[in-house]
Amino acid sequence: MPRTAEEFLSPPSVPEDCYVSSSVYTDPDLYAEEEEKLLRRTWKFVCHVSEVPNIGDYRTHDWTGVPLVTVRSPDKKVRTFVNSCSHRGSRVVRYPAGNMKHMTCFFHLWEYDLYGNCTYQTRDEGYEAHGPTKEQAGLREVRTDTFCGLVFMNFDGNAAPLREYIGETATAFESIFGENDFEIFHLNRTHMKGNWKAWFLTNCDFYHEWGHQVNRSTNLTSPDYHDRPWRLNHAQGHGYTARKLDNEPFVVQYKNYKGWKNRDGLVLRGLQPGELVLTDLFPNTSVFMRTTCVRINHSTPYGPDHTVMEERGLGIKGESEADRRQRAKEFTQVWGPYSRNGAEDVAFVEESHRCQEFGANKYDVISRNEPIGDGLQRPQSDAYVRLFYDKWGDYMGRPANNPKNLMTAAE
Amino acid sequence: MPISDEQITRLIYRSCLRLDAEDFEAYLELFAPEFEYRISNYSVEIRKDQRWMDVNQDEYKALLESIPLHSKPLGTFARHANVYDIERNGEDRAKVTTFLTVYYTTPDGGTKVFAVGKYFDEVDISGDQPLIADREVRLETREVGIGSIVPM
Amino acid sequence: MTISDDQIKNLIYKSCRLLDAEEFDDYLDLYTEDFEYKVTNYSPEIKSDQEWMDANRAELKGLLANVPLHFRLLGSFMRHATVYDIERNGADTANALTYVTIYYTTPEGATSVWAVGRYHDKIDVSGDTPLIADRNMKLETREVGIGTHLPM
Repeated sequence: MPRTAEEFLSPPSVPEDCYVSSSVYTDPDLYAEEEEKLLRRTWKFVCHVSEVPNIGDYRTHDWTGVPLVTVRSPDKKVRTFVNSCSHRGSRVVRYPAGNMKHMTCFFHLWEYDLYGNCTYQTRDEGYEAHGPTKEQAGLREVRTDTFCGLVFMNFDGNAAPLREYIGETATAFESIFGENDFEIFHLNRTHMKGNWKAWFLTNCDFYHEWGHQVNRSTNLTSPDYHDRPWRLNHAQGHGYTARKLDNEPFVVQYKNYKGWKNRDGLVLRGLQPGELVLTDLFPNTSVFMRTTCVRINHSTPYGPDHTVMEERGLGIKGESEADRRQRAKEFTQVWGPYSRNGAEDVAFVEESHRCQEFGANKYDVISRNEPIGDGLQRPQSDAYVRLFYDKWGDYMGRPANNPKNLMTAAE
Repeated sequence: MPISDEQITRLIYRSCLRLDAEDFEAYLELFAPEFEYRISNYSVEIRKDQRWMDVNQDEYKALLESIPLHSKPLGTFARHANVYDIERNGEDRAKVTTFLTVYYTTPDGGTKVFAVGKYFDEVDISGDQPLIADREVRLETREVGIGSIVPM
Repeated sequence: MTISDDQIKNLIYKSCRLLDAEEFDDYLDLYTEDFEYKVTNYSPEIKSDQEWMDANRAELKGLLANVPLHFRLLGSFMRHATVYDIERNGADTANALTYVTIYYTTPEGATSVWAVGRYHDKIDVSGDTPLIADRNMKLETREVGIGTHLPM
């Protein structure tokens, strides 16, 4: 039965943790608050260590609008700095990646070493009277750490250490990353008109697999699809799906997709042929292991309605050209801009955003409940999405179902 | 009778027209048996070449057949190509370099550049008709919007 | 002497160059006396083909003569064309298919894609020089800003 205007404006008739106000995806004030209270206080994925293998190798990136540069210093530690000159604020390093001996600002040629120390001020005698001295003009360093070859950074000096932050969720990928020496071979970036949370939660909502032809043919038709539970990390807001309750692997039948074969060769150490393991790290990093290759997915928001998704593929360092080619081929079957899934995922997010932006959709329903035993939930349950918004509420100090504390129509 | 440069040029343009029209069956008729097709680029971020699609004849055929089952951009793609160079490798093969701009027109009718790149083709000229034996779409563009299941 | 494919291509490219330069008299000399000129597209909104311009010689001549009197975009258009296919229809006419990208450059110097489409030309090849007997510019793009009085 169609809903009346009053019904449309009222919250859905489900428990309070089972719906979300669309304003969390569209409201500029909430986004500004997210930057301050959440995004600058949680660990943000930067890159894989193989992107900065040598001293002087760097990657530039942004977070909450702040330009950053991550570099391997001469002591081999990976460090991150705010990529803004201490003088007049210009970006110091302006290319996406490369190798440098030092960082020189192109505006007035102030120079910084790879530890962030200011080492040169053009005509420094001009600063003798009032300063600043070189000692006072270093770059702002941002806390940086690595886990399993994944580089993360955090603006918050008081946040829990990275290892503690990842917590028990590490069991999903720690052994696989420990047994394989990974190297990056794929990167693509997509600007989307949509909210960063909507993108991340598409990765965490396996109910959306019904929207993918590939997943309908491969994942959903695999006999054990519904038997692998969500393993939720309530303390940190992470989740993963991997082994079934009996600890047997979840195996995807790739041969069910026309033209594809099952993945029996080049299997990553720690995985079984065809095995799929998916990990979601709060607030927006996903690590997927699909038998022969790894995908890391992360997004950078530039506002409530502009998200840049970055997707990486990892293979085995030093493998033969033929093996790399096969691995890359299997990666791009499912992921990447010419894959069977990629464009569809972005379209899902953009279409939802289009309706949320001007109020055509007031609430997201996240009430799916599919118990599997042991208090766990099946993959297509909304269990993780609910956990995500619970955690979001903790950071924001607001409930996601009524973040602006508005009177509802029903009241 | 030897295959002329004009025949080779038309082969390339036909491949664009047929892909624009999503007439995949006719498009595949332009390829030699056992062909390979790749989409590649150089990533300045990871400082490496990368392949975004890498398929043989069977895989490509299956991919094209599956396109109607996928959700894909609702607008249309238009491939504007210019054959820049044809180089003969003996009597059986020619190497062809083609400049390519792919435009995307939204369902509302607005057009924007989707990607630019080059076709590096190896053309089989041993028979009566030229056929594409190998195609590498080398993209200059790496930000391709939401991407596409339809090849370039 | 038979009109060659190269002469036909040159005719089409010349039509682009002269329109870019707004040399309308010379441009009209490339057409037969009784030519027809159309700008068309398919509208998914109304689910049918539509004509956005439909002119014969007298009408097009009048339109071009009035161009300086109209309000118009202050920048310039450039047409990038590639002849994809030429097909002979007996000794007197040929059909040519040409891919066209039209760029618009603002007075400040910024360039963007204005429209993409295809010329479907009927060429009169019965005389000493080829002439355009019929042109249908089938636009892919339907969002063309404020539009223009100039042919595409």
